[in-house]
Amino acid sequence: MIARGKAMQAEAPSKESDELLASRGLTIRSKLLLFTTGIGFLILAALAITAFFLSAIALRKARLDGFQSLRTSLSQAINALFAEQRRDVTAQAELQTVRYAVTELSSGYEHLVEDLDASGFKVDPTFLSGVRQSLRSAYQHGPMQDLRSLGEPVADFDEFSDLGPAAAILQFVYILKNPANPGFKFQKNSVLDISKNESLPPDFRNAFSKTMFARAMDRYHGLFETVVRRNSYFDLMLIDDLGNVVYTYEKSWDFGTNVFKGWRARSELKKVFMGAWYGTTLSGDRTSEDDVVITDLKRYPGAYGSPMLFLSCPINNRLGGRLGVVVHKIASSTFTDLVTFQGRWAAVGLGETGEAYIVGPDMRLRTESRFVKEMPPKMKSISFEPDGAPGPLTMVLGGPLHNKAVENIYSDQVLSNDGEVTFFDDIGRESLGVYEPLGTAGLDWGLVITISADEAFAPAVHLTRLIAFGGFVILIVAILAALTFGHLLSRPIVQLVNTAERIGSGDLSARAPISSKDEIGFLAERFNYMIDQVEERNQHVHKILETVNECLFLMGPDFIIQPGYSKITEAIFQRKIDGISFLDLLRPAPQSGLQPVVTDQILVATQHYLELLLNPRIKEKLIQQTNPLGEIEYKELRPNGAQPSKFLEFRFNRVVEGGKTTQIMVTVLDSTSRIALTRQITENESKAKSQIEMLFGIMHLDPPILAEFLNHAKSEVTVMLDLLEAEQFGSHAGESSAHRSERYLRLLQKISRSIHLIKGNAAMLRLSYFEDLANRLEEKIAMVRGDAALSGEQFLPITTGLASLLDQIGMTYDLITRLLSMQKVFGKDAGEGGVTDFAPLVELAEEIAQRNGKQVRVEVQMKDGLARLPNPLREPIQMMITQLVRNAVLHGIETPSERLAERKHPIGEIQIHAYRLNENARKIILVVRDDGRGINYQLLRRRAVQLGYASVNSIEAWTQQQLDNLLFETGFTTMDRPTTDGGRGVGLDAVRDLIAKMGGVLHVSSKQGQFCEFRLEIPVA
Amino acid sequence: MKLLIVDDSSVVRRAIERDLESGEITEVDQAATGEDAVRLYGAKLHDVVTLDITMPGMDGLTCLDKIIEINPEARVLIISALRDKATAIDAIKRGASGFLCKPINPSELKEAFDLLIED
Repeated sequence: MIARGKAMQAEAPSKESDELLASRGLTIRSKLLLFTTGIGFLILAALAITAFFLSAIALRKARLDGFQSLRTSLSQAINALFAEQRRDVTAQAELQTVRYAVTELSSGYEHLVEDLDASGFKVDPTFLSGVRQSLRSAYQHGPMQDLRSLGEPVADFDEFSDLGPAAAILQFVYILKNPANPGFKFQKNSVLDISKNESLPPDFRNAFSKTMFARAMDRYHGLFETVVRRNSYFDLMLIDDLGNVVYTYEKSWDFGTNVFKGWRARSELKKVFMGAWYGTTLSGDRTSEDDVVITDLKRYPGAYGSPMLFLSCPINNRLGGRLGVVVHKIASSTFTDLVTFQGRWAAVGLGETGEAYIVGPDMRLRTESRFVKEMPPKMKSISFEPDGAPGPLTMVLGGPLHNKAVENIYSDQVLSNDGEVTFFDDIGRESLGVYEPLGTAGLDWGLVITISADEAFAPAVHLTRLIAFGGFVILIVAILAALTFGHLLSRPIVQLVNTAERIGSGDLSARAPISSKDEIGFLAERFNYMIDQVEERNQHVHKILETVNECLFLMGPDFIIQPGYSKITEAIFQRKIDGISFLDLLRPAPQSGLQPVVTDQILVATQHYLELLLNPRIKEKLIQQTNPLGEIEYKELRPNGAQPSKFLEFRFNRVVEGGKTTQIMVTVLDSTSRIALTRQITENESKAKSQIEMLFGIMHLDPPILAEFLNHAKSEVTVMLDLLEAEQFGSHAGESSAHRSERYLRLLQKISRSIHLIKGNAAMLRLSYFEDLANRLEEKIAMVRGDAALSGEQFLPITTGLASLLDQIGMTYDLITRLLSMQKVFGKDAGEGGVTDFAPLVELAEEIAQRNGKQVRVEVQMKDGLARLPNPLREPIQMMITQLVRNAVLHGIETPSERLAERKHPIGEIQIHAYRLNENARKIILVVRDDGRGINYQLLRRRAVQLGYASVNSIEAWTQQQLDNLLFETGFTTMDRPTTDGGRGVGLDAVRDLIAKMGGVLHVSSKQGQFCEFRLEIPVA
Repeated sequence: MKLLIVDDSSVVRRAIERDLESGEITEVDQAATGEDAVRLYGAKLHDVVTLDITMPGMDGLTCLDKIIEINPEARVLIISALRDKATAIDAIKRGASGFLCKPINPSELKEAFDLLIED
């Protein structure tokens, strides 16, 4: 067991226990790793998230703060622009020069045809229709087409072309025939230019140059040019009291027209004229202190549909009468330039995705978007170059915007229409923005400043990434540290586990190394201490198991024998038995020198018995007696081929733990010697019995008969031994083998006869011991006789047998001698002894009676201190009484059936009385009386004649005394055949001789069928 | 405590009764055959039954089966001269509570009885 444990230890490297630990998910290393990683990730995540949110909040605040100030400044700039415009237009309206200009231009406009006529050019219908014709074709390829493409409701071409003669002539001169490039028609407006313009008919241009309008235009255009240029106006217009547009700097298609006619009647131009003229706008939003009227930015047919904003102010004379209206036309680019900072967004903190824009109440942009390209195409609209050619797509007055910032400005659902918001803009970006209504008088505009969240929070994302990366690096370092630390921490534990594994596999010498002074070190120390204790205890158990002289082992509920059994176990079973099933101990084992002799029935019974033992409901003690393995035989296979039997006794006891039978303890006793002893005792008993029988036989035989038997037997055996000795074994010269066989056979027959005679005599005398001896010898002889070819050696066992018989005869002689000597020794002291001398007689009588099929009861009455006979008389008296009792049983008492027939009790009665006649007479009287058949004198007479004591005639004359005396004659017997007990005619003669020798008298009295009594009178010296 | 002694020998029955005589036992019934035993047991449901195996007529094992059939919790002590342990084990498996081998040792019998009525 120990050796096995060591072997296991060698096979148990630390790797296994590592795997064991790993399989249970128990390594400290991995736990630490998991812990560190987990905590690390948590911290990292928390840190990153916190950093992100904190920085995002800070960034948002910073960004919005920036936006707020940007908004303020933008809003101020826009309002300043309008304030300046208002101031300018008001100032211009009040200029004396402007009053003159509008008066002169209006007058010139009114009298243009007349002036031409006066200057020598007759405006006839042919000329006029020619002018109109050329204008018509210009319109068709210009404003008409553009407006249609914009979806403007252009109902009638005539609205453009149906111009009055003055309007048609002015547009013909200043726009259509003006040699300046489209968009630059404000050039070449002077009289000189017109008179040199060769595309005009010479007479016409001469006449036109002299008109009042041409001269007024020549005079004031320069002045207005200075004003427009200086203030970067898009256009400056003068409208006279009749609604005629008598001056435009720009010379676009509204020049010379009347605001109440054609498409102008629906345009903002009419509104702005009317508003100024009547001191109010049609929309009623005139709120300012001055007389300036503003209209919102709207597509203006007069500028090929480009969005225009109008400001107007009435021109009054000194008395306050209206002379006309001055109108400023402002293009959207003016505002776009303002809020886009001429494209330098980044410089104002709008980065890559930020922008500022202005919206109107229709949610449409009033300024160009920075992301016009990214905008959905359906939200964009066409723009036009100054010459009417299609320009790039634009967001100005494009589709309405749908974002939270814009909606909040115009919503009445919110508390405040300005504020900050995170929202999704119209190209789907999450954005951060501020918004506010601009509050410009006459315009319900709003300002939005926005930037994408991505960009706004990019630093936060960047910071988070930085933290995550840095944290990750730190985490890796922490994991490595945890691994190292975990290894340091778990190593002693792994060592401890390894030690525990080794101990578990049986090596109790294993100890955990104590590598540290911390708790684990302490644990290892305590662990070692514990193992010390266990080892010590184990050694105790081991010593017990080594020493105990009983086979002792445990088996589990599966009947598998467990390691750790007493040392003697292997010696008994001659093999290792741990790990095998208990039932295998009862089955033949190929390698074992011990083979069980067990029937299948016992095997099955054993299995059932063990199952019962495991059944908790069954009381162990109550089934102990059903143990089928009380005496199991095994054959021990010796090398010399012998197979002596070995007997084993199995005992079973439950091992109960926690109320449950967990094991069965088996004790096995080698009961071979006990059984051998039992057998020997039985044998000895029978031997002793036979010796006692011999002794008994001897004791119950008449000494002379025994002597005769012994002498006869001795002489027979001696003769035979002599014969055997004398026989020349081996071949005689010239003798054939058949001869020799015959010679041997004759000898054998001789011996056989002798032995048979001895056997017969022994049987007759009931010397069963000798009978047995003789019988065995006879069997030996019979075996030899059965052999066809006799050889000398075959006589050897016969010789030995004969010698042993002779020995027994000698021993019997010795025994008798010893008995005699004992009698001499004990005879002296017997008087003082306590046992009656006649007690053995009772037994003897009963035995003889039994042998002869009779039943007797002996009654002994010893009076006068005769229970103990005086010593010199004792021996002869005993002999005599014995003989008389024997005689009474054999000859007196009838068989029970005979007695019953005689109406007597089936048990015969023999009375022995001893008493002193009287004190003085000094005589002892001994009476032996039986209630048997009495003396049959008829039989006596017949027998006497038979044996030749008397003749038939003479016997009748014999007296009773004479006949009685016959009883005491040697060789006289009434029995036909001798038996063990008598019938040989020896016995009563001895009594007669003895009584005579002692000087006593013998009386016989009897009554036939009733009794017979012998009375001895013995004188005491 | 009611006791039923089943044995075909009156000598044995008397011996068992004498050996078990105690204050605990208030009523003793004897049966010489398995049939009688089953009938008596069915009527009185004795606390303890001692049962011989080898009997004329209905043998002990059959008798045991019938008693167990009447009451699976019956406490039956087999008292038999059986040398065949397999039959004894079989009897235990069939529901007998214990087994004693004849000739009976009075102290063993008493001990077995006490164990039997323990719970």
